[in-house]
Amino acid sequence: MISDPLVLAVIIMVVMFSFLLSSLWISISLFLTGIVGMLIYDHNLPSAISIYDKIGDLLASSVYDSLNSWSLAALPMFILMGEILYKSSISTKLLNGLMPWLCHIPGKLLHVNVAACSLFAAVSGSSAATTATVGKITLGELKKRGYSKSLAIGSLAGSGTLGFLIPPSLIMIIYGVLSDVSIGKLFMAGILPGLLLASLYSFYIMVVAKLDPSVEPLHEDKYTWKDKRNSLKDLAPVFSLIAVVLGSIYGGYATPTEAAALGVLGSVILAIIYKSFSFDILKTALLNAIKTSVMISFIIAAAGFLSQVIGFLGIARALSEYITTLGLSPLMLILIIGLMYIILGMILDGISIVVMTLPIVLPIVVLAGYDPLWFGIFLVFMVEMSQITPPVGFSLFIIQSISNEKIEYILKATFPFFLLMVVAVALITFFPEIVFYLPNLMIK
Amino acid sequence: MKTFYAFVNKLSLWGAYLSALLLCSLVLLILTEIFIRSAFDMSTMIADEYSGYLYLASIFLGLAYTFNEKAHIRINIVSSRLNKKANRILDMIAGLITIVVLSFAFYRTLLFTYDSYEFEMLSEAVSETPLYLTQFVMPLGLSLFILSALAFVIKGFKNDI
Repeated sequence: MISDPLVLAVIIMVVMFSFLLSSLWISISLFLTGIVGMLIYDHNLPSAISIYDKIGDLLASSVYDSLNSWSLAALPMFILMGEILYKSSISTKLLNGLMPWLCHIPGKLLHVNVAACSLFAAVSGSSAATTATVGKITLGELKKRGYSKSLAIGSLAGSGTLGFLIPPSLIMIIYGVLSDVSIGKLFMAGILPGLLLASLYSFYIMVVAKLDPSVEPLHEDKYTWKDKRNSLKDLAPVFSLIAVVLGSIYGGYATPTEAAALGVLGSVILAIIYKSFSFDILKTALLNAIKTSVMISFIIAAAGFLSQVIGFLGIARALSEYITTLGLSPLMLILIIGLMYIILGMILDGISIVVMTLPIVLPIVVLAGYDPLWFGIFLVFMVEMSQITPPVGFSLFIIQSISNEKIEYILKATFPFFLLMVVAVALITFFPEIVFYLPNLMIK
Repeated sequence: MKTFYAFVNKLSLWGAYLSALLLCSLVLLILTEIFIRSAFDMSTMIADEYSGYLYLASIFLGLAYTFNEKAHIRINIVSSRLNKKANRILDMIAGLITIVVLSFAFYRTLLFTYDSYEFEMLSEAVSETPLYLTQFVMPLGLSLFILSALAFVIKGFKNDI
């Protein structure tokens, strides 16, 4: 029986990682860690109350409260929207529509991943969906035309992660619910950092293409103005969907949950127009959406219970008090937290990282003077990095299955884009206005 | 045993269909709310409250199906280095632990639901929905999940002999 919260924190950390690494399911690991944490704590309960009653009450009510949520209901709907779009030919249209516009910049079609991912990210809530939907078309196409394979893969891995940064974003919904920050504001705050990151990627591709002309083929198809005008027809559906989903939130007309329902409706209409809609497609899309939503939501429920336990045991408060006594400067603190997230991101997926660490980390950074809205965007960057850091990185796995390349090769191709992400994080840390500009303009 | 596996599979698939149906109702409910708000400046009064219930229910009813489809994530950096037999043993231990944790959760959520029923607790919104109606999906979904985990462990055990 232990009563010192700091010792308890260390033990709980060790217990949690033992469960996680022994290949127990993540949600079950979190439940079990919470139960163990309650059992080893020195409660001083009167003998009439069983400790199991206490744990059980906490478990049932925290699971119910964390999932009976109107805001989180946006989650399965955005996932469903992505599934319907994945089955439609929207990514082919997007590629055809973008091509005529890219042929004048150095690097030409190498920018297609950056451009297509940025646009698709604006209708999709997850990095996995963005990477898979865009990559299944672009990788083969770029290879066929003789572009550098390494740059094609690297830019796909880097830009695919924009799915979390450019709204709608599943991570932002989860962060918003857990931290009590307006999800609409988070969505708006992600736009400029997302465009900044996309510009960094494009700039890098231009520089490489100027230094090493062999990354692009010598001859490229010429496009006329007529082609460009025709291409608008292919781009229009994506832009109108973006306008419906983001415009309704930005204009204060719809909440993120309502925008998600409108997005599902929009994606169904698009699929019908493209003649890629049938009962079977809807059924597959629904079942796939259920699988992803359940996996994510059950982890959220388990983490909801664990964070109740951590609060109950006084660990969060004790840790923030301890960190305060260290006298770290805010910059030093955020650097340490950033490094911690990069290390965690190597073994865990992004959503687990957010739900597991937030109850402890958020009070600490807020105490150090950071705005929770800003920290949300910072955290999304950390989650993006976790998608492309080995050995566990979801974007890497997806690209591996699309491209059939060795993971080492993909890692080498992705590394420059990882570094550009670090640059972007440094930029939003020193110039937080990039994050706050749009939310401050928002219609109340 | 085959009939048991088939039964569990079918049960979890029904859960998933029900879950899909609830997800569709969630979308339709919110679209209705948006439509009557913009057309008639009215509200369904229940959209906010019921979208939470529908979401909760669709998650719990989909638990077993998600498990059968191997979509609940786990970290395999250690297990991927082990041989097949060690992996099977690890899987069975993980499965048994899961059954214990889920059974505890099942029992406690059942009590939680029963308490709401006994004390006739109602939601604080205008609908005054009895809360046990929104809570019984938790033990229901968990019981399907436990059956699926049981089938998973038995399968591993049978293969081993």
